[in-house]
Amino acid sequence: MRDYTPPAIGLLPWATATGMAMHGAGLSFAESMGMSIIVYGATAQLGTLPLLVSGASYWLIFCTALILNLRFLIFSATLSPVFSGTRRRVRCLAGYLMSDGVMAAFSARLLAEPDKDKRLGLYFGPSLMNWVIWQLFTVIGILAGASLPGHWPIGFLATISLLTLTTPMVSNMPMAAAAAVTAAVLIVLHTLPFRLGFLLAIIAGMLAGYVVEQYSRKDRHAA
Amino acid sequence: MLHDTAALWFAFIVIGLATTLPRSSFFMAPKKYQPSQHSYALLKYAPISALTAIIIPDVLYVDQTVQLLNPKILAALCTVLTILITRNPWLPFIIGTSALILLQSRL
Repeated sequence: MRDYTPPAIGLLPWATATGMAMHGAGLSFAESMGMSIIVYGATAQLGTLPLLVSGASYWLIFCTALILNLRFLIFSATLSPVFSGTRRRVRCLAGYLMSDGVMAAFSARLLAEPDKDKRLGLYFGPSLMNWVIWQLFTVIGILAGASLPGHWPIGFLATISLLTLTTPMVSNMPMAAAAAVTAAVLIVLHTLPFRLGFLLAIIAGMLAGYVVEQYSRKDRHAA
Repeated sequence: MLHDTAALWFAFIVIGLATTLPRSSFFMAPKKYQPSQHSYALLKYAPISALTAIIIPDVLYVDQTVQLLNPKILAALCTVLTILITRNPWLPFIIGTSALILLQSRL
């Protein structure tokens, strides 16, 4: 538990900002908490808020949330040995509770722990703590958002949260290429209907990152 | 959608599914299904691309039109600089919001 304190502290501004952003987007207290408990994913919540506000179609909302959550496919594949031989219900719950913080702080120890019960404790302990802290600070965020004067740019908090996530990600050439190509394609194609430009930009960005990664690998081999 | 409660809750379930399905995917899948090296490499760039695609319209659009130089872009730049300089988790929120309020009252 004590080992999980640093990632948990990083969670506080995020949860608060997400709560404020949901309030700022026009969700009621019950709706905000409903979203927070059903979805339980900051990026998916913050990323789909603009779509909910603009009344986008369900399939676009689904696709966007899915793309935002693709990283969990990798986490899920990485952690799957941890839950081998456990009940279906346990694995379902483990999936729902999965978070970036616990993954980052505990994946190595989880995979190295031979005892099944200890492994489950090591996963569910911090994960439940993460969930409780998240919901608690979401409530604080919603209440704080409601008490701020109306002209404050609360919606911008969502943008800031996303920036705090993306800025450290752009740490190498392929990542920078993915971001730059996504932005460029998005701006060029912003007039296309049904937000086609949005999905095309994401696909172009992913391919750009992949291609640059392959090229830089070849360079290293040649050198 | 915000004014239609049923539609909104249905959207929450849609988003919830799109979140829980990838998270549980490989916990539920039989052992033989594991992602290939190439799909790993491609998936790595999904979050950054999707997030960029969400942030860009957020900072570029002012009243439904694209404006390349506006208070939100400048405030976003201040936020990025803050993130690069400090590791404090609260400062980007404080500086970014203050910058936006200041810039909006000036311009």
